[in-house]
Amino acid sequence: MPDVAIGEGREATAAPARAPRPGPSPALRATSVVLPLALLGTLLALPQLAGPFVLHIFILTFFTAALGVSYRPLLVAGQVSIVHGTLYAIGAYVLGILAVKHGVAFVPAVIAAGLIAVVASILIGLPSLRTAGAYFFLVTFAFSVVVLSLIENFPSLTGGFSGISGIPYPPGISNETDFFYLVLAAAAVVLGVFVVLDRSRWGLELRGLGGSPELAESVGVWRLATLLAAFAVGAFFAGMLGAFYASYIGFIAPQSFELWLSVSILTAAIVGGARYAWGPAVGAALITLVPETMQWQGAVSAIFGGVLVIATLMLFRRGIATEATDWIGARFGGWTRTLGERAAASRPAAPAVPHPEEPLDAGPGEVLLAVEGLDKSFGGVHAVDGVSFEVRSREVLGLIGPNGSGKTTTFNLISGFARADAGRVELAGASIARALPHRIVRHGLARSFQASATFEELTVLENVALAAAARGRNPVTRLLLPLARNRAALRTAWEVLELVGLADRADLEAGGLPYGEKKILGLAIALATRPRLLCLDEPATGMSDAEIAELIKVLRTIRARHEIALVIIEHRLAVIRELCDRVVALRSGALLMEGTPEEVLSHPEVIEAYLGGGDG
Amino acid sequence: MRKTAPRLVAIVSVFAAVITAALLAGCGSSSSSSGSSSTASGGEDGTIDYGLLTALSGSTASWGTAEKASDQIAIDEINKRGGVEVDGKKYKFALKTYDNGYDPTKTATVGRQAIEQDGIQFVENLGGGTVAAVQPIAERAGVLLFCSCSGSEFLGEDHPNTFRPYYDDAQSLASILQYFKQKNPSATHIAQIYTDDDVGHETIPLTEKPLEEAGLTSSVTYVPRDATELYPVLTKVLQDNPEAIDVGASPEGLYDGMVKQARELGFKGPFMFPDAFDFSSASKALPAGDLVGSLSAPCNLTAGSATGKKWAKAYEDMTGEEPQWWSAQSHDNVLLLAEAIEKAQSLEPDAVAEAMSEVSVEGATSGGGTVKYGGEEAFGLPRAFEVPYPVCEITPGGPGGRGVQKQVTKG
Amino acid sequence: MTLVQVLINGVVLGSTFALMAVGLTLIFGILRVINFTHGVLFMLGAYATWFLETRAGIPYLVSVPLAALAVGAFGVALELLVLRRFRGMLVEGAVVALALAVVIQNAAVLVLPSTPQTLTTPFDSTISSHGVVLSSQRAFIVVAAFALLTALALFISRTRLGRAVRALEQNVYAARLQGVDPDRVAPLVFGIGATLAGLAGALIAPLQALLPGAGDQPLLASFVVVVLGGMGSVGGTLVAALTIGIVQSGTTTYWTAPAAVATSFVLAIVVLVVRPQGFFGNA
Repeated sequence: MPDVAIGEGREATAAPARAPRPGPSPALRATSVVLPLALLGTLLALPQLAGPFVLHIFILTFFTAALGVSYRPLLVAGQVSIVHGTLYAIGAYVLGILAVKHGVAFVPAVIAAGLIAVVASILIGLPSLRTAGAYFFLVTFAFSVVVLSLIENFPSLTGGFSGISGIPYPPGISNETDFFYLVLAAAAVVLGVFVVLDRSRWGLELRGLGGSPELAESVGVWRLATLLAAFAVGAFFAGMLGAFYASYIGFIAPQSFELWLSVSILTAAIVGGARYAWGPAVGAALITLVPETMQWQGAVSAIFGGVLVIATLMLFRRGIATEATDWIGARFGGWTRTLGERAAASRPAAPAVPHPEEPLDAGPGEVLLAVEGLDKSFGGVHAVDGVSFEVRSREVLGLIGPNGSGKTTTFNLISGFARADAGRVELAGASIARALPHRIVRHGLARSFQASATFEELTVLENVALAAAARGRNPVTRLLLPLARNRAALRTAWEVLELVGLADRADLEAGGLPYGEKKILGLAIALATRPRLLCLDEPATGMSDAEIAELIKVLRTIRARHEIALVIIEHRLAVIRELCDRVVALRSGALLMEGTPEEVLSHPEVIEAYLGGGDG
Repeated sequence: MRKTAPRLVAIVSVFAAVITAALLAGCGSSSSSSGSSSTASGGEDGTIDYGLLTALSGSTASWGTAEKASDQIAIDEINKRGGVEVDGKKYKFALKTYDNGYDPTKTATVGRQAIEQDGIQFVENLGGGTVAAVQPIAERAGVLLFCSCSGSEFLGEDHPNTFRPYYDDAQSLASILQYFKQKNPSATHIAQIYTDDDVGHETIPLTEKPLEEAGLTSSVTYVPRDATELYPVLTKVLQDNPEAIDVGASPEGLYDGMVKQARELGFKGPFMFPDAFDFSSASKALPAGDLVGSLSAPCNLTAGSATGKKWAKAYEDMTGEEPQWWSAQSHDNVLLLAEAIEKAQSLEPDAVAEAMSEVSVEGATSGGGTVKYGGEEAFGLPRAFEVPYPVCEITPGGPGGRGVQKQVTKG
Repeated sequence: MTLVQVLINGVVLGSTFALMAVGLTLIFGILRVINFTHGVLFMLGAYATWFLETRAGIPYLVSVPLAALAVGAFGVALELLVLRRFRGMLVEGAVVALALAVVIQNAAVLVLPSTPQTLTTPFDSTISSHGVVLSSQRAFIVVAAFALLTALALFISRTRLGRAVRALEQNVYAARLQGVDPDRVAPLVFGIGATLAGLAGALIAPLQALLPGAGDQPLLASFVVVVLGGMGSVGGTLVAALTIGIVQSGTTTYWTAPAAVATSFVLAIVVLVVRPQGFFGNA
């Protein structure tokens, strides 16, 4: 929580911006192509070099790697499940039952395995991904226990503890070597699919949700759908991989799918790191090949896995592969290409004069936002008590009041982050009182946050592009398009960055920006959704005077060029005085008064409320 | 990739190749050090590797420890007397253990490691639920497989190299039931509490016939193997007023709990122990008299023979723990294998397989008699242990009123 | 009389679940960490009692508190050395706790005897009336559990430290403003939770044959209890523990034992879906 001083003139004390990455190093970049190719070449030659046992170990490693890769998207979005191994088990049993008991051909059986795993994932994901926190984790955990128990205790279907044996190889596969290539190909396909998905808008949205769920929702990310998709896509691959596994091993029994399987998938993803799609594959290789190489068995091998996880999380929190890649990138210049580099072509040559993408529905002076009788209580506290006000297009409205007077709650109510107990909220005539945040932003209302202003782990350009793309007009068709090819979104993103003066920072991680620039970036994110109404929650808090002057300039430009109406919560009354056309003052959740800045700020009751409130 | 730097590319490729080679070398190291050492050439003495795939981790790790100890005892004994002689050459046995985690995937992995990588010709595997994972590998490679497989589908013509060095729980229950019915002609109903795992679920169907032959009905209940609070399950079981409780192949921790808690709940009848039952340790762990009236088969066999006593002593010396009785069968199997190799005068698994049924030893579990492979009528091939099934009854008396174990039938 | 016996069996089960789950829920309330080490703490409590009684010759009733305190100290060390860094981090905290549990349990497999170990208790009689039976060790467990949980509730509601714990549970930021230092309260809470888990193990040890996996089932059961009772709610946990105990006892007796755990997990899923804050939770 910000315990930032509210007083005027606080100097910017934030850390200096991280030095720009050294220019791309062609040599190093070449390795990012050659290294995987060399690895692939070695793997392709492996059957000529090694015996069946080594192939078997590698086949199992491929399975774990592919499972880890397909599990990762949820982890990226900040959700942990203990069910991926169970979905794999479901796939294995679907194939076992269909192929052995019903003679279904291999390919349809594999697809059925994937689809049934998807159904399972939706069954558990739909109710449990709604709520944030530990519930999804606990539901998946409980589901795994139940499924395992069902497998054990329905022998007529699953063979019970005796399992299902005699599962055939896929057609055309006659030996170990064939299977080695088959599973290698399957793992490569899974990796390829997730690398592509990772670069899409959907991939970026997942990273956004992992970094700051509220901010992501506020720019138009549909949290539930995005997470559910990640869960279901992962389940689809887990189910199919399970089917391949059943066919490979020929015999499945409950003991193969204990809870520890899900835990080891999680281990692979954590050890490798979730930042890059191939991180979990590195993790899988480490946790399977090292104990095998060292000939550790049983308890010792398990201890190795556990210690590896603890050490990774304590020393390299983002995973070994992530930290290593980023270290090489920082030390030797860009190893992997950034969005800014890939999207350089879509950067306007000269700062174009931005133009609004959508015409304003409401004419000048028309009512854009109408709030009437807004009411909200938390327990016994009446946080917002019958508040009504209006915002007209191109108007700048100040919202002031002491701490706890209900300003931020009002923002939360109109932007969909909290549901009002009573009252009406209309945006350009459409009721948005019961809509979710990602719907409201499509109506043209954007907001910024006091605290989680930016996606810290995304670059500046990614921050803004995520917002521009999420708000995009044809969201579904462009969902899987690589972001670097999403011209419309990138153009908006570049424009906004030029406007706020952050274009030169495009490839820096937002977390490394100085405080003032972070606040400006937060504003840019909201702007990138091309709003008609922008609600800013303490945009100037903690900024230096110089930064405030810059902010005011930017806000004026926005207003003039884009015809955007603004609602500003701010304690720095100078900002209110300078920018606002009208001011609404709140006290204890209720409307105190409304008028021009001069009227309101000089009103004795407002002064009294502020002094009585204890901070200025 | 506009400008490539060939030198760096070369370095990285070499680097990647070295890492992969190191991994391969690591995986392959066991083969280079120990592979196919059973075919020692020249006049030198050789080694016969005996591979044990068993649970050294997880909830069944204690079984693996016992099995490993018992195999080691047999191997030490064989080696002490100079090993086995084939064609004038002396071979010593060496035990190699692999952790199968009681998990089919791991079993397939270590099975391949033992058979394909390390070239082991004689492999023992623990776990009814894991046999199906290793059996195809062993049969394909023509390797002898000794398994704790209770289902009859694992033995016979289709799997000529698979052996079961364990006696049959259904047969031992049959002996117990016969004696019980003879003693209590009016008895009609017993309860069976079996473990909720592969062993329990696979054994229950096999006990239907002996129950029918004895003219008894039963109600079957499964309990998790690691269950400790048994009041709820016993409350259920005792509702039917069973005249005896058959605890199947429960591990000792579980059957001790069942006996104690069932007595607390007022059960007066006998318990039936058709699998490994250790009177000496159970009577120490339980309140005096709890076991009186209980029946077990095959009873008291390790204590009944010199080999058995020697085994038990060696087991305690080696592990510092109470012997797990059932594992003595693994010990006997290794002794039989050594005999069979000498008999066949060959290390070829097929020849040894033939000879397995032609030899017998005075094992730790034969109660003074001999252990050998039989079961031709049941499986088509002599592939399962044939032992007598004498029944023991625990009669009142003994030190502290703990009861005395007495053999009551010849078996 | 079967029904009465089923209820009594359920209360016995529930009492041990309560001892485990109350620590789990307190730790979650304060550290926001799903403490997967709770099962191994239970196991360590049982083995510590076994060691003190059979190897050091200390009487059972003295061994129990000693073992529980040793486990408590171990818990404090875990918090200070490792888990502290993951406070408030749901994903990382759960994973690191799980990894710790794996390491500790497998280390136990390597170090401890592989055969089941038993120990004896002075409470070896049974109380029976009208066909309803209770062994005195079970009665002891129920009494001890209720006494301890009452003491804990009093501690939380009456002492300064207890109020600090509650304040932290509500809101870390606000608690800090009131002068509560999470760095000092968190190890204490973890220690209390660990002590209770160790105590549960120590109390149940005489009823079972000890193996290194002894804590697995209690851990699973207490997860269900915490879900049902609501994360962070002590009173809810107690009610939920008894409910789950009776549900498991009833499922086993009137249906089948293997279904008992699965049934309670189905119940947990239903509760999570219908009422995520827990059936007895209030927030």
